[in-house]
Amino acid sequence: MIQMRHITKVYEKGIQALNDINVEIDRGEVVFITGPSGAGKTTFLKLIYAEIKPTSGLLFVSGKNVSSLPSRDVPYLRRRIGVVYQDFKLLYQKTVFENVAFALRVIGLSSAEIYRRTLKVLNIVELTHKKEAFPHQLSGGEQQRVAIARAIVNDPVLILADEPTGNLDAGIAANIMDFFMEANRQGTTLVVATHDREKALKMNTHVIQLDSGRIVG
Amino acid sequence: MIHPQTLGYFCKEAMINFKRAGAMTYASIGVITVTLFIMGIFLLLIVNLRLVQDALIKKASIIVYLKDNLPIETVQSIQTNISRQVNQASQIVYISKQDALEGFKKELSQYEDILAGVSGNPLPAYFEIKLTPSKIFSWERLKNIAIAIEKMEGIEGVNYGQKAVEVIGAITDVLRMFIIGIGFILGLATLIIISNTIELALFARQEEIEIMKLVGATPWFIRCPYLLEGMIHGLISGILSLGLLWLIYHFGLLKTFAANPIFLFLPQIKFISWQMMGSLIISSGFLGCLGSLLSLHYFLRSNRE
Repeated sequence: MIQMRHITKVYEKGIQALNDINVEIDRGEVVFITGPSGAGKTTFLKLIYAEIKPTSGLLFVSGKNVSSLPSRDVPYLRRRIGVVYQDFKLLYQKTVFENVAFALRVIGLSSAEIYRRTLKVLNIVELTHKKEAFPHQLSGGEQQRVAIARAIVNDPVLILADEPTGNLDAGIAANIMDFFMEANRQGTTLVVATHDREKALKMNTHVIQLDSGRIVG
Repeated sequence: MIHPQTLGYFCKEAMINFKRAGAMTYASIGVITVTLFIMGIFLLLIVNLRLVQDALIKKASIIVYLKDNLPIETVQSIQTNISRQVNQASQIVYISKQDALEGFKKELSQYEDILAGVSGNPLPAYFEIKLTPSKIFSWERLKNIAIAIEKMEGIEGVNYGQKAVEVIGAITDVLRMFIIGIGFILGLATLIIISNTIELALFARQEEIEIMKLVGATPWFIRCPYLLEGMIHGLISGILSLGLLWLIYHFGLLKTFAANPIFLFLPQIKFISWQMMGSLIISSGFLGCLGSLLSLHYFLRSNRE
């Protein structure tokens, strides 16, 4: 699903975020990227959804060479990837339903199809009863479930999550992780960035430990 | 192919942006309306100067003054040559030196003192050519005829109202240049105003645009509502400026002209044509789109470049 070959990313002013990264992530795999703040976890994810280009090296996502992907093709890559953030990135003037439907609207689906698919994923994240609520009326865990619903509504082959439980209580965090694992059981590859190495190791999956832009374990 | 419901979504988003910008929207439309109105005033002026030119040409005549003591054969040959230059429907009347003097005396009959001072006959014989211009007749054509006649042998001079023609022509030319110049400046101003308004809308929705990009919206999908918004700005301003222009024309210019006898010799002033109105509205809509596109260009630049 994801192949990184000697990936290096140097930001402006010479800040080196990743240094000679070689990674292979298989289809259907669950991978945790761990490491302290500034280790390069977010850069790792941003490279995959083509928010930034690597300075050098080769990156393939689902068979596509993302390191030299033309800008016009980026939207089509992103339609196959669901991204979830620590701060949810919801639209606060839109309802729960509209927030999820938004991801389908922008790819030009019909209203009937948008309605059907949105209700289906709201049902999966157990938020059907709150579909008319606005994000500020929801708890943190519920907001993150809306973000997950938005990420999976396109039936992505890959979900990228950047500290998805960073702002949540332990109990709620476990619940959120259950939703991710459920998506993975349906065949979606999952890449989760977290600073909590212990928790990642407990999940008994592939863990990539980053420090100062290098893989250390 | 855009789904009709997606088109509906674009329109809805454009209207939301439009309303959200509030005072900024009104300010932008107000300023653009005024700039387009100024353009409209110049257009109105050009259209009506053209009408004056056309009215003058309908009354066009050429007076061909002859040299004194020309043999009758030469006069006849001049007449033949003139009739070759003008179309058949035109009238060519010969006024001899004697007839010219008599006409002069008749016109000035109440000023006997002046006439008493006139010794001999200082007036030349002349041909008066009353043209019946066809629709495609132009001042250029009239001028060419007059010049051709002037070159003939035995001609003292030709008068075809060249002064009036030249003055009006020069004014129209200057105005035309002026309108091109001012149109460019006002167009640029409109572009900047719309571009700034849209940029504010874009800043207000920065997060939404980020999320749109994240879930795979194409740049054109993101642009469309803003392009529509810019176009609506332009179109509304275009329509308002024409409305304002019409009010000025109907309640200001028409009334002033009707009340003042000085303007009686002028043709009835007219409003700008439907084509011009259409062009003004379409170009303002286009400017609106372009303004949006400018701000979007900078806003949607990818971090990957």
